[in-house]
Amino acid sequence: MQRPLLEVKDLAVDFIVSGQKIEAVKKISFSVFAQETVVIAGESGSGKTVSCLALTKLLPANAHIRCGEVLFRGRNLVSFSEQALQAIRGSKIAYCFQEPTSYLNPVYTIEEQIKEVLWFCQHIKGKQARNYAIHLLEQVKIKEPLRVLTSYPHQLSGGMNQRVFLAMGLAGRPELFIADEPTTALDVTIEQEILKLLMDLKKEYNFALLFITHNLAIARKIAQRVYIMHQGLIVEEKKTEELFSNPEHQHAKELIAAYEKIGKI
Amino acid sequence: MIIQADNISKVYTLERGILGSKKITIQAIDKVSFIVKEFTTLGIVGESGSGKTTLAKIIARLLEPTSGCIKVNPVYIQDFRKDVQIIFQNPLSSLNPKMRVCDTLREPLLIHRLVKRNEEEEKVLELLKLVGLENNLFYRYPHQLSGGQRQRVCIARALAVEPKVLILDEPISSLDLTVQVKMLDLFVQLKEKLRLTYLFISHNLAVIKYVADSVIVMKEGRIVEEGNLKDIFEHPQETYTKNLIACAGCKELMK
Amino acid sequence: MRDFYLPAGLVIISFLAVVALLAPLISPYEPTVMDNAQLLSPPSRQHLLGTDSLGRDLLSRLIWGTRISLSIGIIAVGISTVIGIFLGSVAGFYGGRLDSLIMRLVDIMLCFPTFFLILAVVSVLEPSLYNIMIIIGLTSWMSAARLVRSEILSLKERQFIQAAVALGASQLRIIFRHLLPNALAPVLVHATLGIASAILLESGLSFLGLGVQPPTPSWGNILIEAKSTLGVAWWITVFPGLAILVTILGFYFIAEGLKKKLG
Repeated sequence: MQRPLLEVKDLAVDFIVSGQKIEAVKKISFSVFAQETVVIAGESGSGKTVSCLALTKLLPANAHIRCGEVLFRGRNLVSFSEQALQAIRGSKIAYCFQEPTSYLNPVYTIEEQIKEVLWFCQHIKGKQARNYAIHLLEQVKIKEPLRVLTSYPHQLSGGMNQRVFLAMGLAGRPELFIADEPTTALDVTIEQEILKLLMDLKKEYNFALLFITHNLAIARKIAQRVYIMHQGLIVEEKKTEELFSNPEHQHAKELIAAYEKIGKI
Repeated sequence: MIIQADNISKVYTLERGILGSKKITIQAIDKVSFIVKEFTTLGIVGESGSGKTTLAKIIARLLEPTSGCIKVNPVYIQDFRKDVQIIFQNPLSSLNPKMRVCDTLREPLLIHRLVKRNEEEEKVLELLKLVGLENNLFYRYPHQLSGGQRQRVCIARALAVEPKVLILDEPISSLDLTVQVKMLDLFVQLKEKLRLTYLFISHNLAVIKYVADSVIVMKEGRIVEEGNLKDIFEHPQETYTKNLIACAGCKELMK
Repeated sequence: MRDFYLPAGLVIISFLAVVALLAPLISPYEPTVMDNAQLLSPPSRQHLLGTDSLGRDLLSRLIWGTRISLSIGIIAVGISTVIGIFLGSVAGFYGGRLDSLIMRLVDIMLCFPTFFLILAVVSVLEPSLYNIMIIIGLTSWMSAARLVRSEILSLKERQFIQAAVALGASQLRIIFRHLLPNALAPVLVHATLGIASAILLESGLSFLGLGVQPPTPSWGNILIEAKSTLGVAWWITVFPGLAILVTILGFYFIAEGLKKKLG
């Protein structure tokens, strides 16, 4: 069997909150194969976001990785220096988050922000970078790339900013795309468009997708495999169809029952 | 009918430019009329920016409409501030952080002088039980409660004055899915038990389908479609409604 | 380090408060009694902190001065905070013209250099202890008013206020039960700092001879008397200076601690 692109072994993350240790993630293991779509689903406080930030050590200052390995193409990212990680983030592993507008810098135009990423990832600048930026915006199906380029984040809608964010993620031609609730702040119709776009891009760029959500409807639509997280642990791992037809863990059963009732029409 | 919205409009005027010379008007609500029948649930669906929350506030008389009016049936509603209550999306911000659960629940009793002093505590415990909360939360502050518990406290506070109508403005969308289901069941159960009328606002069609008897679909401040639940879901007329239903129910696998 | 400020500040200020309250019991001499045999004597066993140019015991004068300085600080800030809370909450809650009117008044008051305003008033009125408290209070409420107003403005949009309106709560209940308790934390911090600056202000006024009048001792007027003998009697300058320093520091510590505690 082929080795997974990303293999997480016994990863545990602790938070220190006013002198007390809180185990946010308790020794979880999961893997993502090349070109696969994997969803980590869980309710708020289950540790899903923290575990994904921990993969490239994007954790806040009061959190630290207690133990575990994050093997990306067989290399353990936990042992990497900050500098070495910077070379991985954005280029090999791209992220997109829930509130795209707040992750973009309000004082720079979209053009400046994309160009910055291009300079870091591919060392291109000037006219060449501008043309590539336009190309990227076209890739994320933005109809008026020239107008968007000269805009500031607050002049664009949430959905549009998320597209821009995706475009920036593509700049490094990532092998793994980590999407943390990228559609939660958006309306259902826009959510649908973004999901569609993400899946199209996945086909074209051949990246693996690690998608974090609380929304089982999305998991059902896009995932090949689903991990269910609950209170810092992975309580269930299954192929999507199997999970929905035959959940085993108590929490997974509750989630699926709730989904059957109000998560879909 | 218990409440009727008659041709409600709300216009916001923003002043722009250095001297406020440029006036920009935003039509948040555009001539909205509907009738809420007693003991039913009217669901209002729409995406963000469709004016749902503004409408909720106008119906609760927390905002003045620019034109139009809210009529009530005097048989059911004598004292508006007692008989019509509202529950908001974010329960944490709906509770005074400096007040314990017992203080929060005592306040409406005090305002309307509903019970004698020595019966207050009993009444508060009764309210806690009604919304399915344990007595040991009596002295807790809002920040010591979970999201679901906070929302239950908000419901108990609204029910303290024995209202006839509850306006529920996205009452569950900030909660986890499993908690959402429990809350919806609570709403259904309370409605039966206390003979309540609901105005249920949500962006989630599945939730509306679960609770509502009739539905209004809003877009950009206007009603684009209305009717009873079954008709809307089975035979939507407008493309917008069709689109919404398609997105929420999309079974097409994109893998 | 996190828990250091509040206890340290409280220790300092309660010590000073006890000293102020027990002044008649613990001061070794009457603050105004002159001993002609002991003019400008340095700290000794008889006079722990020495005597001034009139032979008065410096320690006793400082102890009585604590009373004066602390009460000026607390009462002046009490006055300014009450005015500030009242005007600030009225402006924030009602908005509109009333708000504009109050805020313009604040702007006008802020345009005057406060110290010179006080100087002018004091030179017209008699500079008694009470006048000084009132004048400092009446000229330093503006920042409290601004603070309360901005707190109220942001609290007004919170949903628990709307919920209270929907429950039929009266305006008074909303202001006193819901708005003010939530706006009070930053005001408290601000007031603590205000006490420190009021004490400084009084010292400054006394130094210019427009503060508390001799022979009543305040830290400020002890300092001004020390001016002429600075070269020969260092203790008369150093000890009142230290007293002011420690007090201000105490209040700053409390303010800092409160700020962290109340978030």
